[in-house]
Amino acid sequence: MASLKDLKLRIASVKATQKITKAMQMVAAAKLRRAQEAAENARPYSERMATVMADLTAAVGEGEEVPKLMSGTGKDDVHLLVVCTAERGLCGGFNSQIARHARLHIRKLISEGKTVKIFCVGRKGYDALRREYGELIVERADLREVRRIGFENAEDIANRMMEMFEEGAFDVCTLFYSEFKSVISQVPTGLQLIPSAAPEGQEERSESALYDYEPNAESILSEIVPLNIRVQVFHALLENAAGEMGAKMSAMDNATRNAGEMIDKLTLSYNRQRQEKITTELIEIISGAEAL
Amino acid sequence: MTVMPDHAPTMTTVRPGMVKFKNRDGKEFQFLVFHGFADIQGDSCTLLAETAVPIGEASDAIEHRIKSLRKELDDAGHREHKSAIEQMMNELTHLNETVFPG
Repeated sequence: MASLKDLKLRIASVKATQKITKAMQMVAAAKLRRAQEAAENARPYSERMATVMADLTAAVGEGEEVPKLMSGTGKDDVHLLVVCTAERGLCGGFNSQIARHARLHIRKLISEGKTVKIFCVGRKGYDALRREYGELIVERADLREVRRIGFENAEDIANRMMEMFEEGAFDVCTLFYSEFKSVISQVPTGLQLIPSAAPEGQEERSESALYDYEPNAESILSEIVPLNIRVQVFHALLENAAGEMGAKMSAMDNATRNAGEMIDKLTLSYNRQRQEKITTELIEIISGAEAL
Repeated sequence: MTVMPDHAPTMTTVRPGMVKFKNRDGKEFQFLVFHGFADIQGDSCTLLAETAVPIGEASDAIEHRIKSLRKELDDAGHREHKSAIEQMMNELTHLNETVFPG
């Protein structure tokens, strides 16, 4: 049984922790608002971009001059997985959810006999995958210094990906991140970037989409395809940033509540013990007085 | 370039310039756009621009752009990079002169 003093110290320490989690929750709530706004503002653009790309992919016939980034290398042996996670922890299952999603994918690819390469964006994903697949990690991007994610951050990552593609380092590239649904729900998502995947259920539109290109198909595609990759990476980073803050907020809310419960429990047993002590002392005094 | 209903599906890149469009009530809007591309289909036209500024603020935006490009030009290393920036600057200066003469 803990002594009175121990209990008192314990209560003080839990209270201090509660203060910290409370403060973190409020910081996360403030940051969430901004991150959510940014993610939601970027959504129409990137969604529209994705539809345009899908139309294009469906419309571009075989035999046309299509950039490799769009058509792929024709093989599907080496896969690059770009795993985007947060830089900081203490946000519940956010990072491990993405890592788990990626890990399942890696396992599937390896069992199919493919070669897997990993590009970690964010420290937490690297930490999570390092132990199991350390030798597969070929590239890392650090965003720790970045306070507010800008397009240039996404551009750097996308450019690095495209460089690797030019060097022939991989055939297929998939982007892993968390889609921000709401404060309490973030859905880990895998999105194939290279070659541009034609999404299902879009076939009906393709007949109308026999495009004219101004000035010509080659120059347009060579501009749009890389732009699309950059935009999608940017979209992923923004969604992630919002998701991280949402997850952090609810995790810290939970922690604060737990700390509150713990304090109540500890205070109760502290008071009980104090009462007990007083009672024992009184009995001692009374029986001492009676003995005289 | 003018886009009317039932335009042939076209995909094109957009250079810096003015975009005019009317809504259903015939009200006209004007925007200045920097780079982007347009996806034109029979029943819709989507223009995704890197930046879009309402006409009222366009003059400032162009000047701001030119200034930052000038700064970038001083730092640029490659010749290719330099000529790309110069071309962009010429386009913008030209645009500024045509849209806001004097």
